[in-house]
Formats: sequence, structure tokens, C-alpha cells
Amino acid sequence: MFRLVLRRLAWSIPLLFVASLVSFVFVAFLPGDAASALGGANATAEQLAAIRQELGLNRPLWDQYWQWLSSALHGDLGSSLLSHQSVTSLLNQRLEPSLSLIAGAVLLAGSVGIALGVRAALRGRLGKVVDAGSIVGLAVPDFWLGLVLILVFAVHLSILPPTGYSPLVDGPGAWMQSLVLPWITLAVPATAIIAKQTRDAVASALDRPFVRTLRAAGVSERSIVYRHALKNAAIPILTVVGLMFVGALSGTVVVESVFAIPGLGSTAVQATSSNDLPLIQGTVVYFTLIVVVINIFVDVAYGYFNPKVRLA
Amino acid sequence: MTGPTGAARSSHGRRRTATVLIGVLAAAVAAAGCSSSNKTDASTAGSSDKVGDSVTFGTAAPPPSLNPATGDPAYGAVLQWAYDPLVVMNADGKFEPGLASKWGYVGEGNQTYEFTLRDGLKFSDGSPLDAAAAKASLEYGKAQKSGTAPTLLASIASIETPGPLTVRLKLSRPDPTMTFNFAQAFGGGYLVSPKAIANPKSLDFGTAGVGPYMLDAAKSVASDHYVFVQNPNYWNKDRQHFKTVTVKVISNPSSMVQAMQAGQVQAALGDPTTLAAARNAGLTVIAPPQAMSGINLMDRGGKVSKPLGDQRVRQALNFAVDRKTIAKALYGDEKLALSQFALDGQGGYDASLNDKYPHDVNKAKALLKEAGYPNGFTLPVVSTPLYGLDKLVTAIGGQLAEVGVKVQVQSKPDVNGYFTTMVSGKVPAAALAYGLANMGSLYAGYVNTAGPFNPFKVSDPQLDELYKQYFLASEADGPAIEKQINARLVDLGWALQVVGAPLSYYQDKSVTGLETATSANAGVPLLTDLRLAS
Repeated sequence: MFRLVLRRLAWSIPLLFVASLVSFVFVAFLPGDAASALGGANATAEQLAAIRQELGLNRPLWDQYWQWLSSALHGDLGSSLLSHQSVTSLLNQRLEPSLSLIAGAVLLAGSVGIALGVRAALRGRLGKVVDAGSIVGLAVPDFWLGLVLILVFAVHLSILPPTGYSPLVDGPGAWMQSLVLPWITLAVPATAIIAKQTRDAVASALDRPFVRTLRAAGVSERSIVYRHALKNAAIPILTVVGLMFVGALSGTVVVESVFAIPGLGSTAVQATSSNDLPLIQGTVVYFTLIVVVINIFVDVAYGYFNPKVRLA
Repeated sequence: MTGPTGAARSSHGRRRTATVLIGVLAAAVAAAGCSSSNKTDASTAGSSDKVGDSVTFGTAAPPPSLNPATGDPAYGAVLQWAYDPLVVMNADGKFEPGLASKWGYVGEGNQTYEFTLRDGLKFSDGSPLDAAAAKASLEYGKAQKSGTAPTLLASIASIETPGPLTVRLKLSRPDPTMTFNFAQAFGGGYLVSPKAIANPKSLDFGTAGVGPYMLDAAKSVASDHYVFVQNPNYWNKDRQHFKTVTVKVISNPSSMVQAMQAGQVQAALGDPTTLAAARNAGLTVIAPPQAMSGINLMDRGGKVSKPLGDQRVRQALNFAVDRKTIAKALYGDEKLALSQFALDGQGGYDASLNDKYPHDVNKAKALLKEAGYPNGFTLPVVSTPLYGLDKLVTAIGGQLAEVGVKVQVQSKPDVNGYFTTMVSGKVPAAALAYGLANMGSLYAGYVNTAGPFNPFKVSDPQLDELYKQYFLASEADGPAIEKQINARLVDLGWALQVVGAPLSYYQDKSVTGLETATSANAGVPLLTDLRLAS
């Protein structure tokens, strides 16, 4: 298992390099640059040229990337071109809200989705409800869902705050209050997919010959479902949960905007709209690292449920 | 591998885990419901404060930096709390003392400007605001390479301090707009303390002005919320209406209205797309027309689009559009229809110009035929979904189609892309949203051949002559010349302006003070006038 983790970590280095290079090239082809954002609508061509000179934006692209990469390898992700704040400290400030949002949403989606999926595998009719529900869950735009939840729970019922994020250090109660509606918004589509995947995987496992043997041996149905079938169905379920975790990263862009949460998603949008290259590169690095860590956890979980993976 | 007993215990344990997780979440919701009050506020800025002690003001766009010298008037919603302007423009467009007690041009020709500061002013860091400090601040703003300050202060050639509180500006060219530039709409007079100028990084996430409040950086999170506390060195305690002001960034306009309905935010910058929703929610909506919006017919010389080079064609487009219908449909108020280059309440406004281009499809077709385009032509327009411009351009395009003019929209999702394409000189027309303040600010960006809104660098001798007179005119004579400039621009048909899009503010019933936003002061009130309603 330790070698598995080490291998995954080793792969993350070229992955980070490729991701940062691809994002750098894409941003270079976006219209405009940070100089336009800094200069404002009334900036003259001379002012824009002076800003580009000061920021080094007139250097060749390969030179700009090499400069960034050299600093990044020393742990320095540079400073935001617009706010001049250190990219690392800016993003570290925004890490907690995003991770709280994503982890809570996936936990919620996983718990509810797996529970629903198992029940659906055992009761045929509920399976149809899960199928229909998964289509609705995927079709509902999270933007709309978030606004409806705010309208009901914050505006009409006044039991939860409409927007904002309360850090954990300010108290777990306020922290949780500020995240309940965003968690639900982000979790709904993921719950739909996890429930459907769980139902299919558990139903498939229950059809296998070893289950007939277990029943013949007198093992209780509860034990067959939760100890044997669910364990055998765990690999595809884990795969989907891992994918949902990664999918939730991109979902944070919309959810953080609706609920005014200062996370990585909203930072990525702000950085991209103002061509703030160091901040864009920094968010790419952070997102890539999060995906790598998620994949490591999923692989370790694979190893727990399937010994063959441990030995591979 | 465990035996049957261990297996049963293990499966029971997993079910219990799932049940516990769901139970924790339900408990969180229940606990939240029991513990929260009607005015829930999860922001870090004092959720238990009453409105009397604190107020939350909502804004959509955070400034990249809090340095007013590199900032933009668009970020006034954050900067105004800490920086009083030199002069205040009130609701009828007249100027009142701000940090300056006296101001005005010296002699003839608008080339020497002088102002006198109030006595005894101090920056929030305790250092005195005198003539020397004001001079240093203005020179600092002028020297910046980014932001609006260098443009606003561009005409200043040198700064003298003939008295301890008197500052004299020698201008390199006649510039009648200095007083307006120093008022709250543009914020050219946001003065920064010398200590902060010596350490400019301190201004990226800190304030050092003469305003009723100052930033509490420890309680603030950049781009999310800014907490302002009372400035202990402020000269007028009667203007410190709250102990704490929190400026909360909520980029989604619908979420902003909902936050106000829930009591989390008491006043906010509005948005054209939520005006109706805000009114329906029982909020006070203050929405003076502010921006000339429509299509900027940039290629007036016909370089890329030959038809646009003909004045008759541009006039035909103006006749083809039913402004009142578009204003009513998109903004809910047909009074926002606009067909000139000034707004009601401003010096250059002329009511008679509203009848210059009545909606007349036949007249439009006749002019197009006379110009040699009986079947119309295709007009590429670069636009952006921001500020509702895509919708506006599409609505205009629908009406131009009736006279055979096919509008081809190139929509850019971000302002950078839109702006870059607009100034490229490759597209003959662009969606237009230009804040109207006075003819001077119109010249800077729109009429000037170096301005970004005139990328084809077209000029008109009659207009140039009028502007020459305008720059030399006294404040009393200015409005008459402004009317003539307005009339000439309308006659030239350089724009297909359709509405005066409002700059809007929302207030809930607990506060008042933003009603002073009018077209006469470019739709920008003094935000620090915000106070309890009773």
C-alpha cells in the first residue's frame, strides 16, 4: 500500500507539469491580458504598454513560463498581478471554504446515495424511483436549485443564512449553518449518480452465484447485502464517488458564486476574467493537487476492498 | 477474515455509521433552525449586531487592490467608506464642500485650479492633511501606470502650495472638469497619507484616507468582505452613522436580492436584471439613468463598414429603433429611453433633441435608399452578456432587421475579450455602455481620437471647434456649449443610443440616505450618507 501511494505521488509531478503548461498556453491565447484589466477602460495604448513592460508580459511566452516554473519549484507561486498578494497565501485562505464545501457535499451525497441505492437494489419499485430521481437530479441546474433553497430556507423560513461562509475557527455551529444549503445544492446531482451506480452494482452482486451459496448456507439476508454484496459492489461505487469528488471541484464555481463563498472556484473565475496569470496558474496547481490526493484516497480504498489491488 | 459473529458485528457497524452520518446532518439543520434568529448572518462580521451598530452594504465586484490611486470609480462602493472626496456633488448637480472648503478656477481659460482644505483634517493614521500632503497624494496618483487616477489628473502639469492649506494646480491644457473629477463619482480626489505613499503595498489591503471609517484588515477577507470600523481621527463625528460597516461581495445579482430579503444585507448596489425583483421584494430601489447604452457606431469613416461612413445611414438607424418599447421591455420603464448624449438633469441635456429621431421605419428606409442601401446591409457588432448588453443589442437588432439591416452579434463572455475586440479596429460597431457625466468625460473616452471608444480615430471639425470653446468656458457658460456639443453629436449619429441604463441601489426599510443618487451626479451618491431610517 505504501508503494502504491508513493507511485501515485511520483505520477503527480509530471501531471502538475503538464497541467500547468496546458493552462499557461490556453491563457496565452485568451483575448486581452492583465494589463487591460489593470489599465481600465480608458487606458491609452501607451499606458497599457507601460503596464505590460512592468509586469513582464511583453517577454516571450516560454520565458514567462520558465520564470514561473523556476519559482514554483522553489515553492513560490508568485504574486497576483492585480492585488499583488502572494498567490500561495491568497489560495490558502480560500482552501478551507472549498474543501469544506466539497467534502461535506460528497459525504452527504455518498451517505444518502449509497443508502438509497442499496434500498433500491432490494426493492424493485424503489429502483424505478431512483432511476427517475437520478435523471431529475442531473437535469436540475445547481444555479437554480441554490436560489430556490435560499428562497425557501433563508428568505421565507429564515432558518439558514442566504449567503456567506463562516470559518471553522469562528465556531462549528456557524460553520455548519453557512454550508448546509451549499452542501445540498452540490450534493443533489452526485446523490443521483451514486444512488443509481450503487443500485446497479449491488443488484449485480446479488445475482452472483456466491450469494446463492450464502443463502443456502443460512447466512442472514442483512449480512448478505451489507457485508458481502456491498463489499463486492464497493469498487464501482468508490470509482463514482471519486469522480463525484472531482466533479464537485468544478461545481464549486457556480455554488460559490450563488452563495458568495470565498473559495477556490470563485477565485478561479475572477483570475480568469482578469487574465491574472500567476493566480490562474496557482489555482491550476491547487486543483491538480486536490485531484491527486482524491485519487490516492480512492486507490487506497480500492486496496482495502480488493486485496488484489494491494498486491498489484 | 473474521467469523460469522465478527461479520454480523461488522455489517451492523457499517449501517450504524451511515445512520450516524445522516443523523449528524439532520441535527445540524435542526440546530441551525433552533439557534438562528430572523436576521441570520453567517458572515464573519458580527452576526448578532443590530442594524444600529453595524450595517452591511452589498457590492458585486471586489477591487483587485484597495489602493485608490490604482483604482477605478467602479470600486467606489468599497473605497468611499474610507476616503472622503475633496468636493461632494449633490442631487441637483451642485457642489458642496467635502475635504475642501473652497475650490475653483483662477483667472480665465481654465488652466489654473485652486482648492483650500478644511483646517484640522487628519488621515486615519493620525498624520495631518495639509497642502503638502495633498500635493504628494495627487502626484502619487498622477504617476501611476494603471487605474483611472492618471487619466483624471492627466492635465495637471505642476502643483504648488501657496498656503498651508491651499493647493494650486497648473494645468497643461484648458480642463473645465477638475471639480467633477474631484467629486465622489470619479474619486480623483481620494487623498492618501504620506506614510502610506512611502509604503504603497500597505494600500493593497489597507486604507489611509480621511473618511469616516477605516479598514479592519484582520476581520476582512479580500474579495469576500471588507469590515470598516470608525476612524478615530475623523473630523466630523456626526457623519459616522455606524460603528461598523461591512461591504460584502455577492457577485450573483439574484443572491444579492435574496440576501437583502433575508436581512443579511441592508443596502446594496443594484443590477438592471433584478430591478423588478427588488421592487417586488419591497426594497427601495433608487435607479437614476446613468449610462448611455445601445450600439456605438464606431466606424464613422466607413473603413470596415462602408455604409456606416455615411451620416444618412447612421441617422436611418436612429430612426429605425423604437426606444420606448425597448426601454419598457428590458428595464421596465419607458422613461429610460435615450436618444442624446446627456441625461435629464445634466448641463448638456436638451429636451428638444428627444424629438430628433422619432421611431419612423419609413423615414429610415428612405434614408437608406437615398444613401444607396435600399436592401439594407450587414452590421457586425461586438458585444458582451455583462450589464445586459447582449440582450439590448439583440433587441435593437430585431428592430433594425425591419429596415433590412442585419446585426451580426459577436458576443465575448468576459469584459477583456469584448474590450480588446472593440479597440482592435476590425469590428465597425460595439455594444455601448458609457457613463454620462459631462461633455468633458464624454470627450476623454468617446470623442477624443485617442479614446478607446473611438478606435477608428474619427474627428469632426465642427465638434472640435465646439470642444475648444468648451474647454475654455467658465462654469456658468459651460452648459450652453454642452448643449451645442450634444446637438452636433446627435446630428452626426455617432451612436445608436437607446436607453439611459440606470445605476441602481437598493435599500431595505431600516436604512436611508442613498436617495441622493441622480443623473445630475452621475448616479453616485455619497455612500457614507447611509444611516438608520428613523
